[in-house]
Amino acid sequence: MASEYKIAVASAADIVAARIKARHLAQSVGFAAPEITVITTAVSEVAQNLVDHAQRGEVELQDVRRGERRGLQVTARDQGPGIPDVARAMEYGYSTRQGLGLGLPTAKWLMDEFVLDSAAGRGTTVTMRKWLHGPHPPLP
Amino acid sequence: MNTTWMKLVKAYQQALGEYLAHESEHVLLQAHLVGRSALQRGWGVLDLVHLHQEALVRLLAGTPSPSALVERTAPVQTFLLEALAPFEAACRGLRENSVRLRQLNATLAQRTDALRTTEAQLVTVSRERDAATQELRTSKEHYCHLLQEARVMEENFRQLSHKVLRIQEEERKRISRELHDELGQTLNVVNVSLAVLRDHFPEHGAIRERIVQAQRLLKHTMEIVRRFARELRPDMLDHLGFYPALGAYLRNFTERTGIPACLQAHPRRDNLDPQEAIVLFRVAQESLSNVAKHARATRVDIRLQRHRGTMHMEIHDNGRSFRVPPVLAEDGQGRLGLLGMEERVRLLNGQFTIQSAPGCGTTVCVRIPCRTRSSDRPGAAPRSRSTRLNGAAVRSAKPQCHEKNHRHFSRRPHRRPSRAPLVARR
Repeated sequence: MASEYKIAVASAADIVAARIKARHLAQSVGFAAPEITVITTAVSEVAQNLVDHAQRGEVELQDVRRGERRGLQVTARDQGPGIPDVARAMEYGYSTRQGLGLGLPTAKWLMDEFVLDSAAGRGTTVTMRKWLHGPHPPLP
Repeated sequence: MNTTWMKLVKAYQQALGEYLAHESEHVLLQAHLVGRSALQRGWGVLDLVHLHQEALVRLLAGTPSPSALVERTAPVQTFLLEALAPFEAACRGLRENSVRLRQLNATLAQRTDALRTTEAQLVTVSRERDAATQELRTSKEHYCHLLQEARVMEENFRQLSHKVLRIQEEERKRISRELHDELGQTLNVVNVSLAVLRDHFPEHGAIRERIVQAQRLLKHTMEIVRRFARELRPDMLDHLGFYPALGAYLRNFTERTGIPACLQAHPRRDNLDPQEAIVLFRVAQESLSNVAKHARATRVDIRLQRHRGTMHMEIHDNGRSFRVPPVLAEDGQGRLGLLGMEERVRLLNGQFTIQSAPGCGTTVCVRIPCRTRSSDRPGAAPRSRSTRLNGAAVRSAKPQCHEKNHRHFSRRPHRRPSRAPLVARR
């Protein structure tokens, strides 16, 4: 069974494809229905964000382990204009386009771990994880 | 609201129906978007559940059997979860923010406390400052008052000094006149009587000799009385003016002491105010008296010059020097003489200076602002050659004199309240 997917994302159809793979992987890792919904929702948000700001990019889905624990990692990458002010981008309700300003904060709140790496002109990489049976304690 | 609600129920019902038919991920994304949109419009979770229930009832109305109903339970749940996920995110965000808010509130409370403490301290400091300012103001007023009193007292003292000096001058004048007129005349009469007596005994040689001796003694006494009268108040000062009186006094000084005294004056004549004249004369008199008593000098130069409304007198001798402060500090006549001169000059708002240095002799300088104008046209008479030469000599000698053991005594002109009457003007 495949434990890793890479999906090129440039349209709404690609977002659906990413959701399908995410749901599939989450089921295989062993997540329950509400958590699967949480993961697909987070994938929808970061993928939509990617399409809106960078036109295209890719979403990578991985089955991850840390010690005894299993989890799922979502990485969304693009080579777009980047985010000049990361802190503001993470504010709920903040949007540079006509969007809702819900995307990145929603994903962050739904997942256990969330890292945003971006700067103006350098593209954006969002890495987030969801752990089976609750959030994993952060690494020292 | 109702039409919007119905529209949303219809859209939800249609999407749910489609999902129950095909279970496509695409439709689940629609559910997600409906939930998002509802959240955006400010709806709550209960609203969405109500919406879901209404749509579900409508859909299930046409369901043929309970078994078919059970089959559809799982996808219905998946769909509902998808629609509710945005609310879940908002709820978690709210919880997280609530915690942060609580932390921020605690910090804020601490800051408020600190601020309150600081404010209290500030109020205390401000009060203290106000009190200090008030105290300072009071103290300033007090000092202003004291200063005012001091000024009044100084002015009184000045008037008193002036009066004392004036009375002293008057008294001297009176005694001088008495000596000259009464005692002098009486002695003259005695002398004439002695001459008559002497001629009365042409043949008694011993008696005549005694009378001649008495006459000699009498003549000497008369000379002393006359000089004493002149010292007390030279009548020339009152009758002929300052310069002739000073000239006569210097001639007498040279005769008496054998010390040549040279007067250089520009202008030669001046209509000095009587007050100024007497001060200058007394300073000259006192200085020359000091020269005769202490200096062992071989020459005295007196220079007088009026320049830009200031009378300048300089008395220089080439005798022994002395340390100015000790002389001023010591008790007795010497000190009183110097202080007397200084006091007289000061009362006319003038400056008094003594310079004394080994090998340079002593120079007494007086500057007095003149109240009268020079009787000579300004600049009409050029400086005499001797004055210029002497001036140059004095100037070239000065740097040496200033080197050491040189005390400069200068008092600033006495400051007088502008509205107070001029005391010296009587």
